[in-house]
Amino acid sequence: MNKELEILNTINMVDAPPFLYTRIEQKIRNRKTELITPKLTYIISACVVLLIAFNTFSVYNAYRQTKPKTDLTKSMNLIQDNYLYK
Amino acid sequence: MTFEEIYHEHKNLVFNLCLQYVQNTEDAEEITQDVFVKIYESIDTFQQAARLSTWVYRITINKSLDFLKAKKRKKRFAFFTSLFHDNNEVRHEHPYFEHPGVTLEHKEKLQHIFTQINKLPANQKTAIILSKIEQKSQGEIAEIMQISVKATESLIQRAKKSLLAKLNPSEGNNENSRLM
Repeated sequence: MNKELEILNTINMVDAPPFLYTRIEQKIRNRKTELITPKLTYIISACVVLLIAFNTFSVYNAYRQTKPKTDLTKSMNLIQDNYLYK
Repeated sequence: MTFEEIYHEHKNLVFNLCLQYVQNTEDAEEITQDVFVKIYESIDTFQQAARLSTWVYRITINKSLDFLKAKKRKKRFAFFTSLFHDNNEVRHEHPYFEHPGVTLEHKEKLQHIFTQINKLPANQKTAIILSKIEQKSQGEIAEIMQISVKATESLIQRAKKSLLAKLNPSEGNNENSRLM
């Protein structure tokens, strides 16, 4: 088995391309001037999700509170609207 | 040590390690750039507990594995997209083997071996690359991968066993029957 893998020893080390440092510097500069960073994106997304969740909860809560009142008026055969004359 | 000094001292180490993971210059260059950007951003958080080269190795390994995962994800979602442009050109890239450190006479055999190494789980692949290609000792590998020496030994053994089964299926079967 080791004989098979010994061929991996024949892989030579190569030199990194000379222009890489320039590209790395450019990438670092671009990152610094980036307005919308990944961190900012996550924070905004989390806020939006929380807002939607809170709104959904509020609407559901409001619905739950009015539901018993309408059920009560229905069960007592009371008129549910404000029209005196039909 | 300034960032430029760190770059010049470790550029070949990083580039060659990336090559072992992706086996082509283009991808290795991209990962190398990401590694050094990460080093630049995190240099203040580098605690002197480990050697600088060990830390650089860790970042390189993580970035290489992230790159390969992202590539795999892209391929998976390619199922939902058309493989061809309107003019029938192939849109998605195919993996290719253009390792500059490999001589022509060994290219075919090494391509076959790397195909099998690429199928190993990430930790086994890392252990085999560090052990067989980077020629690191088990102690050094344990330090880089932040595991025990015993765990390193076990990883290397399992990786070798998997490779044996894939490279020589008939021999693998014989060995299994002998063990039984």
